[in-house]
Amino acid sequence: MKNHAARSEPAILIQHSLVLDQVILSEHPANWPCPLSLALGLKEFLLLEGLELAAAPQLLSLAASLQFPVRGRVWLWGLDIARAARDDLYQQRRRLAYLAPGQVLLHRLTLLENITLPGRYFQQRNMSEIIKDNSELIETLGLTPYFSCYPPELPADIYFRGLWARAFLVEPELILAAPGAGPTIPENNRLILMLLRDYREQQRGAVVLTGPGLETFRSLADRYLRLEAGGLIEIRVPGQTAPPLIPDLPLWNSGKQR
Amino acid sequence: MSQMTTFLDTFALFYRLLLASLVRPVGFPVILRETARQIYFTGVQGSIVVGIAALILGLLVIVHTTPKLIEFQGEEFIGQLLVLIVIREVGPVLTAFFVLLRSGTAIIVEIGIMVVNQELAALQLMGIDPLRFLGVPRFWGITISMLSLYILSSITAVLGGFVFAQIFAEIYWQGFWLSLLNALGWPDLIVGLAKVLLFGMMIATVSLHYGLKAQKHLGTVVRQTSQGAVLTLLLCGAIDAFLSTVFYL
Repeated sequence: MKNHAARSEPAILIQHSLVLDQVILSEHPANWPCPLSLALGLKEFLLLEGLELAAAPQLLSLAASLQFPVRGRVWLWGLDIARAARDDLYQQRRRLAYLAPGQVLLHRLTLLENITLPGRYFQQRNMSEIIKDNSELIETLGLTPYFSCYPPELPADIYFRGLWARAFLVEPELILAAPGAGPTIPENNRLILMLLRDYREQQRGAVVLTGPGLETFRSLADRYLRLEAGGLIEIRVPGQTAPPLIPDLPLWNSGKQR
Repeated sequence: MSQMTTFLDTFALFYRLLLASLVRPVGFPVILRETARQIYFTGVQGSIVVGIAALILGLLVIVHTTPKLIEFQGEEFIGQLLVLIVIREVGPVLTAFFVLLRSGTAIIVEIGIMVVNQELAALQLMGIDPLRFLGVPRFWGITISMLSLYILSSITAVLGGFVFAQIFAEIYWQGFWLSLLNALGWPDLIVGLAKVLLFGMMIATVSLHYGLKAQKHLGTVVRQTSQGAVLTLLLCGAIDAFLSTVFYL
């Protein structure tokens, strides 16, 4: 009965990877639009700027179903996550990558075991096979020399890249990230930009990036929203040629065109 | 009221662990490897301590009982005593005690620290059910190790008992063995095995429950560890008393 209720949503919801409808967070930050409504296309790249680093994880953890809204509803690929059965919920989470403060590597697994864990667990593949298939990504991130290290032994930037590697190895359909959350050395930002550009070009899925300053990633965005004066304002990026992949994407109630 | 909630939560977790073991087996090789790791830690590395304790138990049984048995010319009852004490009553409790001390508390601390470090949230966000990935291997690892350690401790205690029986009372192998075989029946073995099986499941479930109950800082892990150990001991005592009573009825 519960599953049936969760699945019988309008078909429009299935055309979006993420939909927040009149959502109220338990601890909403200052100037945060309340309630918040937002919809993200299946392959859309959304920048949500102006959120403090402490506030960004609240929105992302809600979108990733790690916490549920006080009021309002959240859909992931058409599934009402707060009403979904446990197994359905876990199945949806396998499709997303979450890279926000608080996301960690498991301390008793080596870096190699950590980044290959989802592949080994869900696809029953062995570590060498996974690494071989993704050698380019691993090489780009420069992780190979640290494979046998445990997370506490890793330098901060390698730890951060390990999180990104783990996220990309599962080939996510939705990336929820706060790139400024990790060590923001230029090299890391350059690598992330490269990964995201590749991800966008291959049209693998949708991306939501949040944080205080996201200038580096503006060139990739289909939509650029800024949190200002208690509302989300949509900003046109000069020189942005790529139209939104779903042109009629609704931004309910809280969006103002500038 | 909170005690009642704890009991209900523990039984709910027990049910969910059984369900997670049997329904939709995702990631079986990873789970199997984790289970083997748990068996190695609890069953293999813990075997020396349990073996020594069982040897001491065998010694104590012989040292305390043989003088009286000899006095009343009842050496043939030595087998009955060993069966009663080692196989049916004290053996399972002794094994449970060491497994709780060594592995139960380790599970509470390990899972508690993982909760504090947000590793459980990381697993959830990867779509990995922590109950399956962390709970099921520990549950079956502890249960299988308990059974193995019980068999090991019973054999060690009986053999130790025999050695000391020879030293103290000059009871030789044939007489000792016959006395033991005459005393040992299927009900004794079944009760002993039922006890260790339930003790194992109970230790794993309660430890996981208290580990998962830890919250934002390490202080809660310390509190959960002591509370979990005490509750497990109480529950093991209750199970022991219940099964022993059922056996005698």
